[in-house]
Amino acid sequence: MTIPDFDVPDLDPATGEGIEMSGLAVVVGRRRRTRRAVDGLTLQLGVGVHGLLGPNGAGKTTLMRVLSTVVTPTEGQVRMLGRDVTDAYARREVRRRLGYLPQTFGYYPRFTVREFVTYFAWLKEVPGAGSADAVQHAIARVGLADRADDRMKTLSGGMLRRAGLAQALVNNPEILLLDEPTAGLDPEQRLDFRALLREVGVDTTVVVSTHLVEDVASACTRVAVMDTGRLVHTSTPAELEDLGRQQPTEDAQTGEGRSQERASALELGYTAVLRRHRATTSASGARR
Amino acid sequence: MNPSEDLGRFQTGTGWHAAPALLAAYAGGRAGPVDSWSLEMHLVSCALCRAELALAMRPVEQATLDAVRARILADTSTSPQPVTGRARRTPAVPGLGAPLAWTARARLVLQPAALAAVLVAVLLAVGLDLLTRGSGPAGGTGGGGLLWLLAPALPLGGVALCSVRDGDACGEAILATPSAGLRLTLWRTLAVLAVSVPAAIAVGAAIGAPQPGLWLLPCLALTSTALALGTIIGLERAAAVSGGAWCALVLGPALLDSGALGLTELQGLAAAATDAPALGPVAQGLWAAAAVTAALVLVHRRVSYEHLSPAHLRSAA
Repeated sequence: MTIPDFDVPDLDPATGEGIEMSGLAVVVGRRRRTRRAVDGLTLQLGVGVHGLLGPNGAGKTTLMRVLSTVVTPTEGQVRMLGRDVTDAYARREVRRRLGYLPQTFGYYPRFTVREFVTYFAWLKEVPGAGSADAVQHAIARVGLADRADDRMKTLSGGMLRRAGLAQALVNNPEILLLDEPTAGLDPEQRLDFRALLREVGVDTTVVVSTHLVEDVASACTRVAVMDTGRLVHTSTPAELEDLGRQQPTEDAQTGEGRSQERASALELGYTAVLRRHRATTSASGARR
Repeated sequence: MNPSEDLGRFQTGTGWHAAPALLAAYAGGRAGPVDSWSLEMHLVSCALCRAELALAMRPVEQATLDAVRARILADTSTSPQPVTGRARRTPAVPGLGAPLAWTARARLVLQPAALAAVLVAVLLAVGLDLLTRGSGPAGGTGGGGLLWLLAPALPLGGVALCSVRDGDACGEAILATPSAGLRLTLWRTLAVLAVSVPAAIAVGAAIGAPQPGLWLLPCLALTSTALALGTIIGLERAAAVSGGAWCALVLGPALLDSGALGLTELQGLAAAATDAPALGPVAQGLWAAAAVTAALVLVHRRVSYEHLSPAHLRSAA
């Protein structure tokens, strides 16, 4: 029996070194009105899907910007894939293996989806030989294959968001950073997106910043809660749920379906963690 | 081949081999544990028996295997979607990353907005020039004097829009790529210069401006100063500052002399354009020095173009 030769794409195995942050602080604002958007954060993230939860202004976006190497931290170290990104050469190497979807994401109205994703493949130095396939694969993964040759100005908000996701995925990244990725997606697209997250998270360090507890409940393997620039809590989603179930609250039994119940338990755990953090910080503030 | 019934093995010239009956029993899952272990030990080292085992499994398994193989082959010959459109037609350039249609690449490097800004600047200068020609106190000049004086600052309108971090719709996502930073900004600046300098020279020649060679060095100095200053205050503002500085240098003396900058002063300037000190032989040396200094500053502070500008950080929560 003769077996025909197949061209098996050469997939780089993920190194699994992930992200290490220690004593991270970022000061934003101008001379008089400065603020520590991230304040003394120490956290390690390995392969898997990490949910970054926090209220508005908690410093999630600033942290995502530091991790995407577009903002330099004021204090502390970040090591990504085992490299120190303050070194220009290492930063370039890390950026080749990075996918980033910013919170505010513009687009070029006259570009087709394929041109747009190809442009990012080019910027990310995806080798020329396989890049047309990489672009096609990325577009298919986010479910835009049937719109690949349409101009971006004809796409809906949810589709633009998915085009942004395709851009982040095109270099098959080892670190994938998504800032509020489910904003603007309808419920069905959200389900597809969470399935994609679980799939990518098998061999990739994925960080998803969100304020939707459902995203964390259904797609994340770990959850980190931030408030006022500080890390308040890290655990698995299940542990945060357990915390929520222990909360004596009148509306704990209102959840109808199982997932809704899970989400509400998570929600309770999330608020409990935030409340505890605020109580301790205000107590220490009063003592001073 | 002489089957030896007692041990389920037969001997050939090279050593022991498993009997077909044992292989058939093993393939059908009917061999006892001891026979199975001994056969498996033997299979590890004997390719011939492995091939025999494959044949023994044929009646049941081969049909399934063939069906699976046929389906896989059918899938692979149809399922990778043929990539149509520009991405396929453009050949990959070795070492330059993904193939990108040249029109798309041109659109990205020479942005339409920058092109428009340069064209508007050239048109404004030409308009000003036409306004001041003809009826001057000197009884009309050859024309083109004002265009010639303003030419070094004309590309700055486009250069202002070359920074990824300040002006690009996808700036933040692009900054996180390895190609971002000074490299992309410089390519865009080069594209702006490649369009605006020939355009200014051609228009100047058409309306009879003095020889263009003299304003090339100031133009280079202004552009590199804008890029260097842009590492501190942002490229848009830096381009405005260096453009404004050039205008002050060229128009300022006339303003100071007469206390106003009306049509007559402009006409006077245009008439005496070739005597302007800013373009004189001494100044040329200074412009060269300025260009080199700015280039050094730019290289030293190039990291600035790789990160988000402070304006982004202020607006961010």
